[in-house]
Parts: sequence; C-alpha cells; structure tokens
Amino acid sequence: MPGDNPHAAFSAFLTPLKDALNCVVHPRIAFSPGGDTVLNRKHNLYLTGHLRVNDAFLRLRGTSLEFRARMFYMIITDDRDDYGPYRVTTRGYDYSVRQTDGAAVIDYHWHPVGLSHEKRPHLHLGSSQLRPDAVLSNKQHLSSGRITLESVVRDLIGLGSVPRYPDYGDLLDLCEAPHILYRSWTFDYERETGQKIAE
Amino acid sequence: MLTTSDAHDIDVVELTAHEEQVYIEQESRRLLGMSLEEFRGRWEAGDFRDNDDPKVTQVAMLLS
Repeated sequence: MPGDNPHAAFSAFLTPLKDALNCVVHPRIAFSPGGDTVLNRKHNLYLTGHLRVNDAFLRLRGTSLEFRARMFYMIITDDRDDYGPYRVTTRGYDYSVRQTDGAAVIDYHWHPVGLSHEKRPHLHLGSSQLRPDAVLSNKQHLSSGRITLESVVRDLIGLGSVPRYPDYGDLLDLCEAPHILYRSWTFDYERETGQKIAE
Repeated sequence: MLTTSDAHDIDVVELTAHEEQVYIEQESRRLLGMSLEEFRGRWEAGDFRDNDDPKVTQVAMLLS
C-alpha cells in the first residue's frame, strides 16, 4: 500500500483491514511503538487489541466463538511507479479462532522467518476439531496459500458469525481490492519473488 | 450504495515499549507457561527448532 510518507503508507495499509474486521467485530487496534513512522523494522499490529481481558480475543456475534488477529509488517521505501515512495509490506500473520472455553478451532499462520521449517502460509486445525484418533493433528501445517484478512472474515461469517452490515460482501470485496492489486506473491514468497526474507 | 460503516470510531493506539513488552510476556506465560526471558533464551539457543506446536510460533512471531 503506497503513501507519500511513512504514516500515510501505514494508514493506507490499516484502513481496509480495519473496515474488513469491522464487518464482524468492533476492532480494538494497537501497534508497536514507532509502527506508523519507523522504516525497515518489523512492527506488530494487534487488530483485536492487546488487553489481557479475554487474551485479546473478541466474541463473534451469534456464535460461541472468539477471534484474535495479529499482523506483522514493515514500512519500506519503494521507488517503483505507483508503489511508493513508501509502502507497507506484510511480514506475517496470526489469525486465531477459538471457542469461548478457550479451545482452539483454527489458526491461520504465516511466519516466513524463524525456526519452523514451514515458511509458507498454512493452517492449524484446533484440537477441539479433531478426534483423538484423527489422522490430522493440531501440529500439522496445512498449506493454505496467502490468506487475506477479508477471506478470514468471510470464513468467520461462514462459521455463523452474524455480520454487522447487510452488504458485508461488497464491503469485504472493496477492502480486499488494494491488497490484491499491490501484493507481490500469493502462495510462496521465496519462489515467487526470488527473494528470501532476512532473519 | 454501500453501508456507511462506523470504522471511523475505532480507536487505534500506539503502544509504549513497556506496554508491548507486558503483552508479549503475558502471551508467553499463557501459551507456554514460561517467562519471555526464558522463551527468548531457549528460542535463540535453537531449543524450538522445527517445533510444530502453533503456540510456540504464536509467541515467536511477536518477538522483534
């Protein structure tokens, strides 16, 4: 998402995420110190807040489910036409759905750096959704491709979360469009961009 | 015409370094039952290499 200065790039990144999440919950957003100005440093974005109450999960209306969303990003310079001079590049995500009793339902992860062998976007099925003798386990990485927050919100509605707006589908499409326009990869960051994210 | 959302009413807060540290410490203790200092030390020592527990990566992703 481009901007004329770091803060503008951050705002362009955050606004569609905020609007998308607002289709199912009223977000409480927090970000790392300097996260709207400091370049070339990984920042954390807490889309459902950082409060100790309920472990920063928000209740999904009409369900016994809760949702937590975090993203990781950097503000960088980009001298390509229409991509800069500043833009935000995503460095990972962690979206989590659990039951109100705390049992995990599904986690959407992308952590391209770190000690895990799985650097591509993937899902973890929560133990609450698996029989003890299931072939799958909570620790398996199920390849997912890069999943937008808007897609996750659609999944939440599919799981029974009551949308806050009747035209949520159009709102989500609108929010997702800039991301799809500017993203540089879809399934495998390293293979598609020819670059490796520095540890 | 799309619904006018109330997204403009959403608070967006920049955390202080201390507030973020407290949050990550809480997550480490809640998910893994260890202090952030212990987790960071073990993480940097490679104790969690190829550990597939999603709780480990949830905390690790929060580290800078």
